[in-house]
Amino acid sequence: MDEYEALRKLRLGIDIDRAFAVLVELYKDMLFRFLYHKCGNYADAEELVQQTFIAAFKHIRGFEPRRAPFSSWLTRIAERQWLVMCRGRYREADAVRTLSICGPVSSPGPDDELIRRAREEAVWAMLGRLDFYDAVIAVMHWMEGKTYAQISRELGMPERTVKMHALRARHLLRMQVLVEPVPRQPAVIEEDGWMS
Amino acid sequence: MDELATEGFWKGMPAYTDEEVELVAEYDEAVMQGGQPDMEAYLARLPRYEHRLRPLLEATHWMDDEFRRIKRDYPGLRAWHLIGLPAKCRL
Repeated sequence: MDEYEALRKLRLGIDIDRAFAVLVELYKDMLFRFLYHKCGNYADAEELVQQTFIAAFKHIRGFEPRRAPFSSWLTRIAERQWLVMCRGRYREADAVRTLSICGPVSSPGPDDELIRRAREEAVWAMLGRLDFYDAVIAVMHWMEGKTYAQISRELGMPERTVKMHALRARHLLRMQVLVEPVPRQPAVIEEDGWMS
Repeated sequence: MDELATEGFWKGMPAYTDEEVELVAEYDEAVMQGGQPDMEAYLARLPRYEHRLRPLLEATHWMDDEFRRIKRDYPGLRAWHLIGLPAKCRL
């Protein structure tokens, strides 16, 4: 049974076990390489390969052969699984500990240094408290210097959503670090009489 | 994920309009490319929201400086360490 036949049978619900086994055999190595590159360890990569196949199997009817090859569709699912795993770990992570692991390289005067360290620690601690995608996009944009279009492509997220996450990250970082709230919007009477 | 973009208030955050989001993003990319965008000209495009756009545009410069400083002072730092993801992970 080839890929085309396996996909056809899966979609029709015929000989599911064998069809699924064919696809697993065809793509397990490719997926493992892809996910190992992302995770950097065997255990996570293996687990994610399994989760990817399970998710693909569940949503096989959503696969549209005219839009993309099966391998691309599978890779997109794998990427999502990887992000879900990161998000789970992110919630448990303590971002501030990194400060003590890395340690500052330069050592200017005592007062300046203290102020600088305090502000940096505030930014770092705050990044750790942002929602997952806010923090990921903040790091990709401000640390890695990627444009919104690049981030949109890499995360498979609409550019408008990326911009919204960045704006939210900026809003929260600013609120926390500068401790100077964004002023309340004064009431505006719309032309139709509604107040916003 | 798209629904996040339309989420209104979040921890006291004003419900920014699409125009505001676009304007801030445009300004931000101009700053990141090393330009000196005219903040007043940007604000003049949406005068109605100036009171809440101004702090965000000012914050753009502050954040740009702050992250540059972090990158300079911690040259060996992997960006992903900042948010507590594993060292080897890549996105």
